[in-house]
Amino acid sequence: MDQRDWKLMQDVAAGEDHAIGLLYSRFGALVYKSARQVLPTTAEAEDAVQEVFVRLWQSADRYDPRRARLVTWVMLITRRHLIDRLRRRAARPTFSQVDQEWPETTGDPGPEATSMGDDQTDALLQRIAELPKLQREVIEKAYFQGFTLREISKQLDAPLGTVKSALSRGLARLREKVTREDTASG
Amino acid sequence: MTTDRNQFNRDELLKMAALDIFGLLDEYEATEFSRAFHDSPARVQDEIVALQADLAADPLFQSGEAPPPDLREKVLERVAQAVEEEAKRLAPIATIGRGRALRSVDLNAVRALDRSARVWRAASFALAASLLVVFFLFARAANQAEEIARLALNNLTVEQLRDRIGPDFESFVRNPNVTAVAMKPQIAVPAASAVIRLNDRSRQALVYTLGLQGGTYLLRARFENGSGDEVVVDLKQFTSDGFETTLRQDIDQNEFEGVALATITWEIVDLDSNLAVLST
Repeated sequence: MDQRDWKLMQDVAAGEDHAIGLLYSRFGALVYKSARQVLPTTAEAEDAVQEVFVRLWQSADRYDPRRARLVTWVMLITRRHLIDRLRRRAARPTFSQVDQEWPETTGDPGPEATSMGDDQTDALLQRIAELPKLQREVIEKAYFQGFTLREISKQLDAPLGTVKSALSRGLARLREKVTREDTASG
Repeated sequence: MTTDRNQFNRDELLKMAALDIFGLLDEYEATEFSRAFHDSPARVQDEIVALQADLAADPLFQSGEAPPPDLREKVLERVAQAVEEEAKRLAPIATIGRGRALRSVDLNAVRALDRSARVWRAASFALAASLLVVFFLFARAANQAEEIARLALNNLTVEQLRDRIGPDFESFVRNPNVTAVAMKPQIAVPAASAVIRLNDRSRQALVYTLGLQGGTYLLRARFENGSGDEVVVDLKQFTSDGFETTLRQDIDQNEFEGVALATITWEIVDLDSNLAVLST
């Protein structure tokens, strides 16, 4: 699989249509769903997906299967692009009212947290709302708003190490919650 | 969590791996993590690879909404457009010098140029690039040759950049955040070419020029601000020795806030004539 993925990315780097199509078939849904979770509109998520695949083409010749599986490489590029978009949105506050649907970190959003429009994301937001305050704030700022950990450290007036630990623990707790819920329902 | 890579243990690496997959490490930390990964035992590397793949595909971090069916076509069209645009941008670079058609290369003529070390070095790099491009042009179809020219430009300059910049060069090469854009001659500039590598995440640019005539130049940025007005920012003055230059520049001025670096028109301006000699 590693060599096949490496060959696939070499073909993507060469701009071959069938290779790009295959890459989309394998990861297009994953990229879109990741984008849709943090971007407020389907139009913006679609645009992000297109940009991500352009970046995947641009960086395809650098893919190293020894360093990461292809799904990881795709998601790394996806997440970094999404964070860049979130940061640009923060720098250019020209949102329409329709776009302004972010869950703000003004306190405990509680179960009535702003809906992102699908049950799965709403469930994630609910789980985030149930985290301890620092973990919740750090995850919301980092994951949904694209702030760097250093920026969050300044905003919350907390040491950088504390912020990193809170983020790591928060993500781990979110995944533990999902595992427990899956076990309980299964 | 320590940033000294010599003190990274397995648990710290796994924590960083999780932050890395979500794009939450800054440029320095990401580089440190990458180095630490390569220094780790194979079993720890395998753990990291598996953890990141697991996180990457975790449905917890995805919406439940499926992509629209027509998105596939849009993606293919957008990528095809990008491929075509880059091929057009590279067309002048592939000939290594404006107005110079790529004909067969006379190796004896090149050897006869061994009159001075500087001329030979300039000629040898131009020759190597020319030979590489010629070989592939004879061996491949035209559209593939354009892609090879792109790779040649990137690959030829990568090793040279590594020698000149040292360990920091990884911020600009083999980095998925970096966009490399060829700069085209705007006036008759014999054998001059340049590439600008843009890291939108760290907000830095790296310019590498080859064959720019000796003189004083200026790196300039042009873009439209949110109001639609053109903004021109003069960034850095530098001198060329007539052979090659490497220039690294932070793009953190207020004027650039919120502007994607790849949307900017980058120029190299000859300060004697005040004319842009190279531009993206």
